[in-house]
Amino acid sequence: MAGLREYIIVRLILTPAMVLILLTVVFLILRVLPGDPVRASVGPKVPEEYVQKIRHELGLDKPLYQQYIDYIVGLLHGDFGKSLITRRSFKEELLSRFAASLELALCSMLVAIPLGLSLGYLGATRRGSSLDHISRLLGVASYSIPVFWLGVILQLIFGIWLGIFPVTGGAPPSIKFRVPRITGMVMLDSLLSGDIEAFLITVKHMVLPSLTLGFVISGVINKVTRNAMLEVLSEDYVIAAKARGIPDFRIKIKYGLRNALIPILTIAGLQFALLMGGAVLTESTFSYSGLGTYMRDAVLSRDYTVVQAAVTLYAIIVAFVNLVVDIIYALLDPRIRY
Amino acid sequence: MLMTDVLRHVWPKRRGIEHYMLLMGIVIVICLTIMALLAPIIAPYDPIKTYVGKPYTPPCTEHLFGTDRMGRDVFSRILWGARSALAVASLAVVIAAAIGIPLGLLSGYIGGPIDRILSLIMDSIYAFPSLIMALAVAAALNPGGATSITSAMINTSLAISVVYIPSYFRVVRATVLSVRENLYVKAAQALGADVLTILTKYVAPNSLAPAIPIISMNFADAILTASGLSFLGVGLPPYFPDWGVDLATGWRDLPNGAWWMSFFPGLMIFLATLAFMMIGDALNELLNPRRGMK
Repeated sequence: MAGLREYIIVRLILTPAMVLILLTVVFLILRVLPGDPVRASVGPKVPEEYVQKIRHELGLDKPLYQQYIDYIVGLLHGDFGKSLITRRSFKEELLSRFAASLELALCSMLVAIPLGLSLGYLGATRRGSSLDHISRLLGVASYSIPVFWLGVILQLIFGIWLGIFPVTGGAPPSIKFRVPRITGMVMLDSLLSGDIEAFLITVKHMVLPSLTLGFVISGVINKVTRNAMLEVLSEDYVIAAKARGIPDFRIKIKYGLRNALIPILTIAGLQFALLMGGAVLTESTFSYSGLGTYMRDAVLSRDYTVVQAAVTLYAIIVAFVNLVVDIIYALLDPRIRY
Repeated sequence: MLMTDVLRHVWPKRRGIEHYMLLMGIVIVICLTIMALLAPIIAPYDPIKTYVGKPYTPPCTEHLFGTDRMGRDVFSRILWGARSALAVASLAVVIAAAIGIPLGLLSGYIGGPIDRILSLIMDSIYAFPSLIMALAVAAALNPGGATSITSAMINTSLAISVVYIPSYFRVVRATVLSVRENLYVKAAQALGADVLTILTKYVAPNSLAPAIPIISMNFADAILTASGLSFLGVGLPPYFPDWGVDLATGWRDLPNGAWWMSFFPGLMIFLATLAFMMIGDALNELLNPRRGMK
C-alpha cells in the first residue's frame, strides 16, 4: 500500500501546482499582451488622470510581479479582486453563476450517462449489426456536432415549432427570487424548500440545454463503454460463465457491464473539461445565466479581473475532478502508481 | 516509418471501414477546399452586399439557402465562409505544431528538470477546457476589435492555437523518449554531433509519425472552437462571412422562424468537423500498430 499512499500524496501536491500554472499562464497572457484594459473599459474619451486614478484604485499601477503576488495572496483569502467595470467585488455573483453552471453540468450528466452507456452497451453486445453502426455513427456525430447548432435545432423543433419546451434555459427570474437560496442550484433549492411548482417550471427550462450538452458528452461515454465491454466480454471468466451455461443476458450485465463500469466511469469523469467547455456554448445558446455566459460577457466588456476569476474557478474544479478521478482509479487499479 | 510505408499502410489491398471513413473525409475536405478557393467565382452574389434579395427570403431557386435579415445571400456567405474556416484552422494548427513539436523534441531529448517543468505546464493546459482557454486568450487579443480582417483572423488563430500546443508536445515527447535510446542516436552522440543535428537528422524524422493523426484531429477541433468563439461574439467581426458569425446572427432571428439562417452555417461546421474527425480517427486506427492485430 506504500505505493498507493505515495501516489495520492504526489497527486495532492500536483493539483494546486496545476491550478497555479493555469492562473499564471492566464495572468501573463492578460497582462503582457498589448492593450490597456482600463483604457479599453472606459473608452477613449475619458481623461488620462481619471484612468490613472482607476489604475491606482485597482492596484494596476504596481509592478507586474507585485500585482501577481497580490492576486495570488488575495485568492488564498478567497478574494477574487474587483471588477474593472463596476470596480466592486463580484464574488457573490461569480459563485451564484458557478452554482447554476454546476446544475446544468449535473443535469447533462443525467442525460449523457444513460444515453452513452446504453448505446455503447448495445453496440458492443451486437457488434457488427446495424444497431452497432447506428451507435458508432451517433458517437462520431456527437464529437463533431457544434453544440450551439444542436441547441439551435432543438430550440427550433421543440421550442418554436412544437412549443413544448421554452427556448430559454435555467429558472426564470421570477422563480429565482421566489425560491430561497440554499445551495444556489434552483432545482435543488426548490425541492428542499418544498416548492414543487417552482421545481417543475425549472425542470421544464432545463430539458433542452441538458439534452444538448448531454448528447455531446454521451459520445465519449458511448465509445469508452463499447471498448470496455468488448474487452471484458473476451475475458476468460466470461467464456467460463458461458461454458457453465449461464444465460446470455445475465453474463452481459453481471459479468460484462459490471466490470466494464470502472473504466467507463473514470474516463467519463475525465471528460469534465469537455463538459465545462461545452457548457459555455450551451449557456450562450439558451441565454442561461451561468459561469460561461458570465465569462463571455466579461471577455466582451474586457473585464480582465472577472475573466481571471472565472478561469480560476474553472481551473480549480477541473483540477479537483481530475484528482478525484485519478485517486479512484488508483484505488481500483493496482497497476497505476508513480 | 518512411512516408511510402505510411501510405502502403494506410491504403492496402484489404480495406476495412476505416479506409472508407478516410476516403469520405478526404473527399469532403477536397470539396471544402474547392469551395474556399473558387468562392469568388461560384458564389452567385456578393457575400457582404446587403439587399441582394428581400430580407428573410426562405430557400428558393434564386437564393438556394435563403437570405438573412439584411437581405444577404446565405449560400454565397457559406461559400465564402469556407475560406475563413479553413484559413483560421490551418493557421492555428501550423502555429501550434510549430511551437509544440520543437518543444516536445527538445524536452524529451534533454530530459531532467526542464522536461519535468515543461511537461507539468503542458499537462495543465491540456487538462483545461480548450474553449475556455481560447476565450481567455481572445480576451487579451481582442480579435473582434481588430482593425482589419487579416489581423482578426490571425488573432483568432492565435487564441485557438495556444490550446493545441500541448497535444503536439505530449505525443512527440513520448516518442522521443524511446527514439533517443536507439543505437543510431547513441552513435551520433559518440561521434560528437551537436544537439541540433541529432534532433533534426536522427530524432525528428523518427518521432513525427504519431503527430499526423493529431494534425487532423486538431483541424476538426480548431474549426469547432473558432466557430464557437465567433458564435460567442469574441471571434471574427459580425459582418464577415463566417459560419460561426452567421450562425450567431441566424440564432437571433430564430424566433421569427427563419431557420435557414442558422441551419446551413451549422451544417457546414458539422460537415467540416466531421470530415477532419473521420480522417484523424481513421489514421489513428491505421497507424496504430496495436490495432492491426485485432
